[in-house]
Amino acid sequence: MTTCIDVAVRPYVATVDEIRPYLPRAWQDVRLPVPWRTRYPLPVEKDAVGDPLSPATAARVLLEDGGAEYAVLIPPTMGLQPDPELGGAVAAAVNEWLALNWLEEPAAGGRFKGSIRIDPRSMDRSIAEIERWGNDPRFVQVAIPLRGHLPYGDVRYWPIWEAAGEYGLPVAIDADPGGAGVEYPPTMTGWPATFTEYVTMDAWNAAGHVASLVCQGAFERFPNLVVVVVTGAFDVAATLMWRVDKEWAQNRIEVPWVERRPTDYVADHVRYVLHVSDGPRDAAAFGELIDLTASSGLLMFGSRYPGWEYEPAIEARERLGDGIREPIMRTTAAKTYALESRVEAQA
Amino acid sequence: MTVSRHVVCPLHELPPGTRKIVLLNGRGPGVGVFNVSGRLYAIKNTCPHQGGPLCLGPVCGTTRAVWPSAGPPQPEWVRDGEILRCPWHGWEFELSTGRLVAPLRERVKTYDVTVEAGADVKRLVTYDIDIEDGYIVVDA
Repeated sequence: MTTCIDVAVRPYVATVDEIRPYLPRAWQDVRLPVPWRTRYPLPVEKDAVGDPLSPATAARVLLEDGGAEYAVLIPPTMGLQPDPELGGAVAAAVNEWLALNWLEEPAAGGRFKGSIRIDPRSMDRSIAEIERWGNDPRFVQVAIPLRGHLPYGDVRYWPIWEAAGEYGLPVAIDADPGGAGVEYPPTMTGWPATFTEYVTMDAWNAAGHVASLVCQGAFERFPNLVVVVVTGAFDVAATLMWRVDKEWAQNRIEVPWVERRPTDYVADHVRYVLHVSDGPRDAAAFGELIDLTASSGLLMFGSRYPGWEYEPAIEARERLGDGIREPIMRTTAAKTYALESRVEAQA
Repeated sequence: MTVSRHVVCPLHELPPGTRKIVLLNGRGPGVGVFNVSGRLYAIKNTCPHQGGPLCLGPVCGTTRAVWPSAGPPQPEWVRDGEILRCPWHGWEFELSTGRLVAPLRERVKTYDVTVEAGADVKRLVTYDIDIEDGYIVVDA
């Protein structure tokens, strides 16, 4: 069977009570926002047979039927909490839950890989979580929400990037819907009226984080930092970076720490997970877009199981041309997550 | 390409801190001739970015990054008097080489500029020359 590496699987907790036992006792009885307290409830299950939220079903759908050698799991944390300390505690609880319920799933045989969820607004808890799991070969990256409260180039986040770099962990930016209403609007122009607008524009936020990381000098300061944009929209980000290139050429005195053309940082420091909405549907036109944006080495396949964006590997493979199929479906992910060496460490 | 010699003016007419934009053979956009603290530069008056009148821009320095042991980088002002910045969009060029400060390929043509005795440049012009004076000559 043709294999792949699936870098975007989202194991959801079924109810908030599933997380409570993993919180410190003092927080277990505190009111928590209901998971997915977002404007659109989570629709799961497109092809899944059985319970799509169960690790065993996911293992069968993704690893057995989907042909994934590995699946990188990015559990949502129910979005931003009003209290960053509680947010950090919930993230830590989700990590514990993931390790026990998914990473030890017998049907996966060690091929489920975890993300270390943190609330980046809580610095001490974020560093503690990275140190807690950073040497555990079951975890392959750090994950932060798409919508934090500041663009991710901000210097206040830098200790997190430094810690992730010390453990050789990429940092994934992924949507984390839910929360208690303390997130900023999903579009730069405010709250959209319809789901069509919401789902289209939410992903654009990641392009702003990439521009911020470049312009604030984070990639100069942390040469090992790799950011994985799980929400996709590489096409939006690439064209945004063309604009940043032009502004940089004429406003360079403002950002002298941006020593290279901004777009050049992307190749070394940013990866995008392919999304069903990226680019044109036609395979030939999609190939042209990849060439135009020099993105063949930037993209990784992620199914986004079990949400409504779920794209089975077989469908993704079909819409990719010969030259880009293998890097996107497998090899770029293997390199980005250093999967071979991590697996040896686990063995 | 043959180089033609152009007499710009007596040196005393271009004191330090001043510039002149001269047309070569009567054609624009011309060449900017700069006296920066006694050093002379001649550079084409066209920005390769959008064709702006480069030589109307400020002669200044530029910034570079200084990295403290922790925290964000800080900008530091350096190379004062070595940089010509386009008045249109701020592209920065080294006066001496025409190269961009940013690591991009575009560059502006620069020309050799010298000060020569009046007696030596007399044959290059049709007007009267003070043979006691020094004259700025651009080779373009």
